[in-house]
Amino acid sequence: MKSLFLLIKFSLSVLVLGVPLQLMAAKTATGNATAATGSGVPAVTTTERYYQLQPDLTYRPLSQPFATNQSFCPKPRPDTVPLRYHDSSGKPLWLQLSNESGQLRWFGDTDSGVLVSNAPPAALPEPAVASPLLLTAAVPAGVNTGVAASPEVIWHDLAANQYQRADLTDLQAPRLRWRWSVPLAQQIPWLQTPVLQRWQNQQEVLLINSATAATPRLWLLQADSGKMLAEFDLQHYASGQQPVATLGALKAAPAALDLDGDGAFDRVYQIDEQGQLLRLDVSPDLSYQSALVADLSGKNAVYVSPLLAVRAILPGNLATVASRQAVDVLVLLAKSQSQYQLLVLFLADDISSPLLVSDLQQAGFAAQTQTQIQVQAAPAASPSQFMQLKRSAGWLLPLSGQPVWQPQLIAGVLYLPLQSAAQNSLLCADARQADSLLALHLYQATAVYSEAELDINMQLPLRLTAAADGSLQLQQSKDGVLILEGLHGVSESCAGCTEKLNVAQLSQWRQLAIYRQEEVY
Amino acid sequence: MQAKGFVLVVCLCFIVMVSAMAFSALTISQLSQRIGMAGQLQTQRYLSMKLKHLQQLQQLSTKPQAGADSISCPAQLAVWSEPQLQCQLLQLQSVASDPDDAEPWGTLLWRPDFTAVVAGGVS
Repeated sequence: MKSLFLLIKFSLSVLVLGVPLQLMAAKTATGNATAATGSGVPAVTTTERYYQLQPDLTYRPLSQPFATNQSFCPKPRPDTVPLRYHDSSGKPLWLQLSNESGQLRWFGDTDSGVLVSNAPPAALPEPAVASPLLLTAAVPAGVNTGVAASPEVIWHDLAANQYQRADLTDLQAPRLRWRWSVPLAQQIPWLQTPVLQRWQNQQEVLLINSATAATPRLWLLQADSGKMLAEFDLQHYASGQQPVATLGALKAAPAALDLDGDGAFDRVYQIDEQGQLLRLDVSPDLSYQSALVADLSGKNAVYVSPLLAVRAILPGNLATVASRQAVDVLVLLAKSQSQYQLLVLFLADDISSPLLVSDLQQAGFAAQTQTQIQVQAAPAASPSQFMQLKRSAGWLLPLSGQPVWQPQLIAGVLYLPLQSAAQNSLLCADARQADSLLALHLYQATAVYSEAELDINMQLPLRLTAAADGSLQLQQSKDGVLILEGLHGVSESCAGCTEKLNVAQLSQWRQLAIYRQEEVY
Repeated sequence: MQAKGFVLVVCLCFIVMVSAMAFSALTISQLSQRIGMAGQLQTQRYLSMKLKHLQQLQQLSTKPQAGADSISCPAQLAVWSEPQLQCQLLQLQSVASDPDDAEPWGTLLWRPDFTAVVAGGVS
């Protein structure tokens, strides 16, 4: 009897204690869930709608899924960072986009959809490193700032070999803004990345390459209307040259620079598949002068990744004090068989003869990971600790893995996410999965953080954010997981020096010029 | 009589010469002083303009994007790739207080635009 009483008492206490425990467990679970979704992206539903472009230039929903969805990834393969915006009624919305085999696919709050054309999709022989689609500049201005915005996207529809711009304000009824058919037929299907640049009178233009080997062309399109502004025939790009050099297929997306800061680009870099780097100086009347600035052709090396070009002033040890002029820094990725190489070129304005691969210094950062120099350390560090670049030509580095995203420059530090196993999965869902992040000093190719190659598992794309204390950090755009905090930037105090970035210091006004205005009669 | 007249003329000529020399010496010294001042004055004017523009900037900083153009950032050591960062260009103008120097002075300023980065961290 007494034992029965004890048993009842025990079970009662378990009941009384158990309920709050369960409640607490439930609370933490929901807490975690809100923490995960609060900064991140809602789960993607599986319902997918298909819209086909009709001859009357409207998108009509298809009653049954198109046969093409077999080629799609089972889970989202993001090609853009998630866009957070507000519609006209102020409702917060979220959208992520991808371009798979030349068909636009979106993942929204509640549903996802695909825009398909009439023709069957083409199978891609090679994976693309970069996102082959583009949002108009109008969107990023309104994105993440709480402003009402209408997402519009431009992409290469590979099956029909045309470029389309669609308005995705109403995801139930996407609207075609314009389409432009590529005047040349593609021999081998290749997904081109359109590049958006600003031209005269604040208008936005698209730079589009032809990927056909026999007819290397560059087209300039008005981003608003899809009207062609110019066609540059680059067949014989340097007629004065002996022998007359011809270009191969232009598969890598071009890069444009605005040298004079007037808001219009005036220089375009193009690289063909074999590695001939071409510089086009474009005048306001759309005439141009072209020159071969580098010939990086090597054994089996293929250049297909989008170019990255920035205008930079070289640090003191690379250029003598008197000639500290601005140069163009180009970041390239080359692939030979399954081995990738990262190339960084410093190109002066008055280059006399094309740069060759043999001019580049082989970067051996592995030995230098231990001698990381901070600003706090003596600035007069012995020069032997740094890679001595004899000429300001550039450096190259064989990569240990496969690049998964375009290289990015943040305050003079080069970031490149790598996938160590050479999987050929860039076409599908794991495409945006990287297991290490390469972070190198742009001018010295030395490690910026504890190691040059940081072992971090991450889901791309990453986004740059500011912490509460003003330091910058890299986060996963998908769920806001912190990848790297306290970002550093290159510093002038010594050759390989870096310093911690701070938004408050960086966003101060700097004087460019002070001048007396004179009237010209 | 004639000799006395000659001496008088010579004396007068000498007085004229000496006074001309003294006058020119005085003028030149004043001129050189002015020239000496000019550099100082210019620096002063430059600094006063800079101060004026700084004051204008402080008034502006309450509403950040007023009158600023978005450009690609000027070449510098610590470069950023373009999709990451754009820069704002601001042109300030002011008229000097000196009435001799009525032409306006301008200042071109730039700064990186981190609004998207900061806002992206909040969302």
